[in-house]
Amino acid sequence: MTPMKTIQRCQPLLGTFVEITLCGEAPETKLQQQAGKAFEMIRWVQRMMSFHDADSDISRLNRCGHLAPLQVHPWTYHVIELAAQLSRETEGAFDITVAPRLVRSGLLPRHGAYTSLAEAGRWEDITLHGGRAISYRQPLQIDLGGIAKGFAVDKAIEYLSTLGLHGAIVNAGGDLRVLGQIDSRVAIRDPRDPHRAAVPSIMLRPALATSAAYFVRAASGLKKAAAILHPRTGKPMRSNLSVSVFAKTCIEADALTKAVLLAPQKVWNPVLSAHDSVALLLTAKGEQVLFPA
Amino acid sequence: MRRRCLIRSFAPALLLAPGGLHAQVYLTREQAKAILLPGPAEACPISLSKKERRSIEAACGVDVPREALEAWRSPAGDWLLFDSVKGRYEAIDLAVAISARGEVQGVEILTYRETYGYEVRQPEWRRQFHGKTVDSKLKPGKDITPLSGATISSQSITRGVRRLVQTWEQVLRHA
Repeated sequence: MTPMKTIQRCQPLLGTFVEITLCGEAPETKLQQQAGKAFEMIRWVQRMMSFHDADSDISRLNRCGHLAPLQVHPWTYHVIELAAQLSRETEGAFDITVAPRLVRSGLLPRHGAYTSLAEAGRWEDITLHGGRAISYRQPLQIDLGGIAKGFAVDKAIEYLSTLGLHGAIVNAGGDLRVLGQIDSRVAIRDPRDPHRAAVPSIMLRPALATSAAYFVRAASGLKKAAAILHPRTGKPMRSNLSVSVFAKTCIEADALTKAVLLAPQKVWNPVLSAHDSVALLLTAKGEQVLFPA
Repeated sequence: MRRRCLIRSFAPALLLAPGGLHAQVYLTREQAKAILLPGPAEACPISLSKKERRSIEAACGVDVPREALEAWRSPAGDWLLFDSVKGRYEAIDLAVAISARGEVQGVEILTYRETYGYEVRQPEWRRQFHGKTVDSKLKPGKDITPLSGATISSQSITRGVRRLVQTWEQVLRHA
């Protein structure tokens, strides 16, 4: 029997550190090659959906989506479709149209004067047409930062699942998904002391994502900064709560963390069950609460 | 009095001890070279003069603290550069491949040190999983515990890459 080998790689992608762990019987050079191709999948997602890149599908839409329907890549269409579905289910608590406020606070770049920073738009203003075309009912700025990372992880795992590996983990800065026979343990940063402490848990579903405000505040040096905003009030999320969601796919886990952070519990509880997901809340007092219990 | 002096001189060590420093090693330099610059290449260590460092700093807006860089060059003129950048708290080692035309061909993180992570490798910490594990079949070689949390920005890497691209522009392309 050939011995099992494990490799681990890390590349700066999606604005964070993406780590890929592969475990299989193939020679190490082969595993390295396969990891390289998985990174390539993530790079494609980045090229299509980055707000920062002026050539991405998203930037094209943000420039002229209100003028005429634009055709986008099937992956972009799929992500926006799911985002709209989650907005509907969470009564707008998850909303990809909060970008203008993030641009104003300096957390997202502004692409020239032609982009509108009007804040009137909401997720209902996004229209999905047949033939992968999308249009806006009024000038909008959408940002897939709260969902595309999870999608990129799913795409990498989808590719890796075709290779007959023993197991794999793709971790995009905390949004992760495991494949096959790999360790089912996971560590979640403790929101009270994110740089030093972690809370042990087990992978209750193949995918896991965590959202909290602790790093943005530290990085920007602003007490009030947070990359997660309440869509109705525009106020940054400032609690010390950390929300982790276990789901079947990473795109669901990623998006649902924001819904749990922002929506009232009676709204997100049925959404969690509809997506067969489990939420783990870590509070500032050190409590751990699991939903559904 | 003497005791106080002793405490003072050891205080930094005491502060550093309990947290522990964990360095995650992803690739050795040789492995990174095999991935980013396969094939024949010769070592071309770079030494930047003060003037060059100033001019790189001015062009990219990023400090150039080191004058020496480890670098490899292929016969076709492609470069592989090793550098380190300061993350939020600790140094991150990276390898960057730059083509003969000055385009970034790949970026790999070699080691990532952070104060967090030490405890996860401790047996007492791992014992907390006992009885909870659904299906812990795996792991040939080493233990892997993936870590989830709010996203850490990789901006420091972006700045480090910008610095190397500027180093190519001003120094290496004329080499």
